[in-house]
Amino acid sequence: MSQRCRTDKGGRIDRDQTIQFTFNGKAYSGQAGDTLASALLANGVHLVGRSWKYHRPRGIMSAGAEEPNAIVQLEKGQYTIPNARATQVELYQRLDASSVNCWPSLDFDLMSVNSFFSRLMPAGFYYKTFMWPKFMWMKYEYLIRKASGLGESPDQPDPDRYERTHAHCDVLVVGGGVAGLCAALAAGRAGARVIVADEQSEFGGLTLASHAQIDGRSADSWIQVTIDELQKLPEVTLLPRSTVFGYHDQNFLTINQRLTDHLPLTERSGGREKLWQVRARQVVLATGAMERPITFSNNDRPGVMLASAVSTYINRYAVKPGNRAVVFTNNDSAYQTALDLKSAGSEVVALVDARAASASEIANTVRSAGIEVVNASVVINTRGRKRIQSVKLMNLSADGKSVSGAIKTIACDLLAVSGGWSPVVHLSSQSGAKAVWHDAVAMFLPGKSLQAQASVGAANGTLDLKSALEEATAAGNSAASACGFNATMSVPTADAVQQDPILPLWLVPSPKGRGGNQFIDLQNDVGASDIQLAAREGYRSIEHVKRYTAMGFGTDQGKTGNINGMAVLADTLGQSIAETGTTTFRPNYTPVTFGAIAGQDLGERLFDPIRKTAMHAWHEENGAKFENVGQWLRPWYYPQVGESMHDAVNRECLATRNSVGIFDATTLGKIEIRGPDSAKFLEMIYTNNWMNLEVGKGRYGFMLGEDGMVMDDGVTIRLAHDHFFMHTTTGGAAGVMAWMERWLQTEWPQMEVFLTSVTDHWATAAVVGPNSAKVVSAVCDGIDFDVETFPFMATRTGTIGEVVCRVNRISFSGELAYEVNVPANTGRFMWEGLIQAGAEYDITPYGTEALHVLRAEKGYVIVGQDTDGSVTVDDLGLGWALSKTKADFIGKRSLTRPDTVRKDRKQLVGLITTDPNTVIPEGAQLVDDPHVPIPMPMIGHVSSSYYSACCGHSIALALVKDGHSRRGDTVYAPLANGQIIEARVTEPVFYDKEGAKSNG
Amino acid sequence: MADLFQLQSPLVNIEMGEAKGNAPEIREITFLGYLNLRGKPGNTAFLAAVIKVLGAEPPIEPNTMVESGDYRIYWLGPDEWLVITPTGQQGQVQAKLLEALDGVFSSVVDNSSGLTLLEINGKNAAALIATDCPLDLHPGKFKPGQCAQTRLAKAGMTIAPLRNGEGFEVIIRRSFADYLLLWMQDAAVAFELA
Amino acid sequence: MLLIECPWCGERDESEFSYAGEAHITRPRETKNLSDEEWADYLFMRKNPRGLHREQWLHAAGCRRYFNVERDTVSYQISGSYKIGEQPPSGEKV
Ligand SMILES: [Zn+2]
Repeated sequence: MSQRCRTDKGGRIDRDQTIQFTFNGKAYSGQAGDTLASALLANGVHLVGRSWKYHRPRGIMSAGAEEPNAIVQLEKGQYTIPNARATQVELYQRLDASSVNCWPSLDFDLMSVNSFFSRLMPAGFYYKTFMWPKFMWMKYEYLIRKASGLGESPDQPDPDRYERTHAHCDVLVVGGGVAGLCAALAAGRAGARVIVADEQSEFGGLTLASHAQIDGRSADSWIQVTIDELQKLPEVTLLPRSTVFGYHDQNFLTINQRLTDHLPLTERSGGREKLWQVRARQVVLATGAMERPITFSNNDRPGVMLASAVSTYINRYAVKPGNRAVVFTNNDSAYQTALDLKSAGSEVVALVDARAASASEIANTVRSAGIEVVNASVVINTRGRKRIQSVKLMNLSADGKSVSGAIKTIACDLLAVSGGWSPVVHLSSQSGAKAVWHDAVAMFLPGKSLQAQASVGAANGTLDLKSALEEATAAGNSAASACGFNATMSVPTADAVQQDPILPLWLVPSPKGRGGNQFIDLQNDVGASDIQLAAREGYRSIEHVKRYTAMGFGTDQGKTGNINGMAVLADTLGQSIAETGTTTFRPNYTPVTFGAIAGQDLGERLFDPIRKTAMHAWHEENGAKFENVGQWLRPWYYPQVGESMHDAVNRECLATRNSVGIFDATTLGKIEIRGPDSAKFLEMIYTNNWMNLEVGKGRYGFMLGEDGMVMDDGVTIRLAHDHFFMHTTTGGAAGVMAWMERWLQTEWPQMEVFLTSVTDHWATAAVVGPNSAKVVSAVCDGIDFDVETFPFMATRTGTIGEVVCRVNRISFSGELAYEVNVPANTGRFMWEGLIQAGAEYDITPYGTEALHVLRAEKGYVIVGQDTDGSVTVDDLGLGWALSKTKADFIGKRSLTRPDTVRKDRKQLVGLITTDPNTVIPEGAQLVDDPHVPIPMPMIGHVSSSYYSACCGHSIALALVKDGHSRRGDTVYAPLANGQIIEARVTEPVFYDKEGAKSNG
Repeated sequence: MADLFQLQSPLVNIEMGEAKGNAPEIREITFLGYLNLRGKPGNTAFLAAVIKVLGAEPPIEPNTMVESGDYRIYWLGPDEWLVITPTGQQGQVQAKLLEALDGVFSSVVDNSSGLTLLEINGKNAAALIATDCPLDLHPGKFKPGQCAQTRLAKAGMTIAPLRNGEGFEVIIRRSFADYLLLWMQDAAVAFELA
Repeated sequence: MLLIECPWCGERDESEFSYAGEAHITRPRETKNLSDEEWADYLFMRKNPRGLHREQWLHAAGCRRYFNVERDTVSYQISGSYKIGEQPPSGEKV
């Protein structure tokens, strides 16, 4: 060990395991059990970063999640992690870390020129300076980001796996300090399912660095015994390195468990992190408390640390953070730090206590250890640049509002500060409990939550170990009891410690009525003067001041500074802290990787479900290109060697119109409707008549929403008097099923109708074209395919080999066509049979693109493409589908609303371009006159547009205002590239207008 | 034509592979018969007809299933059940049910090609499913004889604990089967080490 | 993520459900006799309260039943679920 600030004994580090690492390119060594921060301190390194606005030198301030300064970039390339807190990074072999925010280097920072201009960069600086003129903002933003740039995001794909799990438990204990372990033990012993999550590698929390006794043994030994017992309980799960970062509704909490970040890169395997989504019946929040600083001039110098962090570095990590220390406090807890420093061999020059007197047991212990206690005094300023060199003291007036007397300067290299403790109420607040200010203890304490939870120990403001154990035991017992367990653990014993009350002190008064560089939020360089300025400029709400000054906006979310900031605002406004309130504590408690949130839902295969038909493999084997239609993957077209998409689609269309094509229609939604009231039900669901439909026949129908707009369409077949088979659109299947169930379950429960979705059961091949009957009849037995005896919209049942098939004569192309349905386990068998039988007619598989062209040639609309939820059946020119005789159907009343009968509604028309080869882009806006200034009055838009090989020219469907009376008019589609396409309005049917081809 | 005949399960295109390390074994039980049965549980004629054909009353208690001879009946809703029959018997069972239920408000629909069944077995079976299923799978909470419809990743499933061993049977829809298998194989990687 | 009690399946994660809007909106019987205003009221007007709200949910990934939930839109606390046609647990008449 060559770590010059490592103490000779003590600590929880492994002195036999030395770890080599680099920081800002320089090699150092640490020990196993170190954090990056403790290892740096062991090497005497305090200066670790630069502040983001003024680029002032900053040092390690804390020992935990609250760290505002020691923000580092870990590793390089694909494994790089930006904005890690050095205080939470476990040291591992060959760790490569560097400071963020230092350009070109930590020691020589060009941007620190900003500090000379700090007077010119007050609160709201960015808003005032950069928001105008607007067009300059982009340039300013670039410069600001270059200057500040908190860490660099990786520029390569993340190579790691991220795991996740759902978990359920009776009691989730957040925080594995003494209080959390005690609550977990109470619940666990009773048999409850318990999860304990702690963000550190080791359970025990702050108590690991204390000298306390529990149940007659040292605290760390009690912790070990407790962990051993918990580990033996089968229903208890202990999660170290696991941050509970969100507390959501009904006790749903999210935990990010870090699995491999503490290992050398070469030893990492398996998932990097695991996201736990926990539903807990009861929650115990034992999240502890964070020490807060006191604000004074130049309180941000490296070597100014939180007192408890100093104790932690000494006791837990065996590090001596300074040789000559001053302790500055307003409460009793920092007295222990003075003793810890002394026992580590540091000289404690003075303990400066803002309180007029201190006479508790520990204060007397400190005095008898020979440490000078200076009461009624405060630190007003510090000196030193890359490390503190001295502090200046003055006397504090009895009312705490001014300082007086001679300035006393004390040389030191460490200043340990304690402004008191703030319970970590983040999760409690996220759960809906508004934090409440308590003057007596000068803390925001957890408010009352509506969720089943309790805060215990320091998280509840209970700093005294004995009381914390009492609270934790009671909470653990009662949480388990609430889940039906008999929980009766008795409280572990500890000595009560009598403490003198805290003297609230947030901002040390300045000697000349004005002090500079009194930093509240060290990461974002927000000073007390910024908050005071915001108040002078009229800001009153803490939420507005936060946004105006950017206080708490850093990656640390203001964990150390926010309370002081609220207090300074309250003081400036002359109101209480209770009146000022806190800002909202939002998830996430600490930053969470995108990887953890994405989990395995990544890439083309797993981001979203891909649904496939029974014939999918055949399509793949035959070279299909696919497109996503909803979640389905459908053949788009089947290019042959050398063919473009355009060539392939033209070939598929012509082959279908001239001989026979085959199309996989499996994805259409299919619903069986059974029961005596089925026809009556369909009368309400569809716009047309269903009572009179013959058995064995089908009918095309529109479904409307209650607003009268087209919602879905399809053919429904009557299989028996009380039995129908409905087809829906591919994308509408689930929605239509839920829609119909909703009417049956909520509005018409007396109707005797049952619905069953069978979309997945049937495989469907559409055989289309003049030769379709010949192909289908060669495959299907038991059906007479004579076009007269098996008419359009009829259904027949036959067999293909042993397989029963249903054949519907339905057409979506205007051609003679059959849809052949078989159970999907035999789908490929049916398909290959049809392909084989069709060979002599050169049967051509076609995809969705040709399907779209064929139907557009006939003017058949696709719901969701030619309609958008604002289109009526009349707008489509299909008023014949609206029953005139039915008293009611869903949406009927809306058809006479003033908006629905408006004359200038957009109506479906056809468009034929003047240049037959020009295809208008779908979505293009249409205008009457393309030469008027922008914005041109728009009269409609193109909904479908293709080149039609069968017609020999391009065709389009469009929705145009008052379109039905505009046949023959010329309209224009001005495109973004300046091109203007001219087209003539036509009826929306382009091919076989007489319908001669439907019989082959 | 007849020479082309083959039954293809929804997972015909997926390489199932062997379970590695501590990953659970995933096995497809192909070509069972699946009938969707609907009727009013308060209708004694309906219950009587079902008992006559299946030998058992459909379970009225939500999220439970019963076994009766070769048949299994899963509760899907207060008036909806899934009847699983041995391979190839769905047609005749459907016909018998329809006959017995003639004149009774009910529905019997063959969905045999629409579903398939997976058995997920091994000590990490629950952990694999819990990767992205919000149901509590604790053996004290979800026991043999119970069943549930829930979601797995981004698809639906019906799940029931296996009577023997540490595993579950999972019934999924044909069109989602590829996706779910690929998803499970990916999730299983977490258990392959160690 | 809410925890919603399906009246049949019990407590399940919100991700199994889909929201179906305000509850207790009854479709008018003789729709043709309604004025445009009355129809628009049924069609568009919703309470959107700050506080106790009755809403329909569908157990979409479960038993496919619609049911009602009484939920506070401020605290997101759910006072209970009840079947279609029943009265909410708060006892407030609807
Ligand atoms: Zn349910």
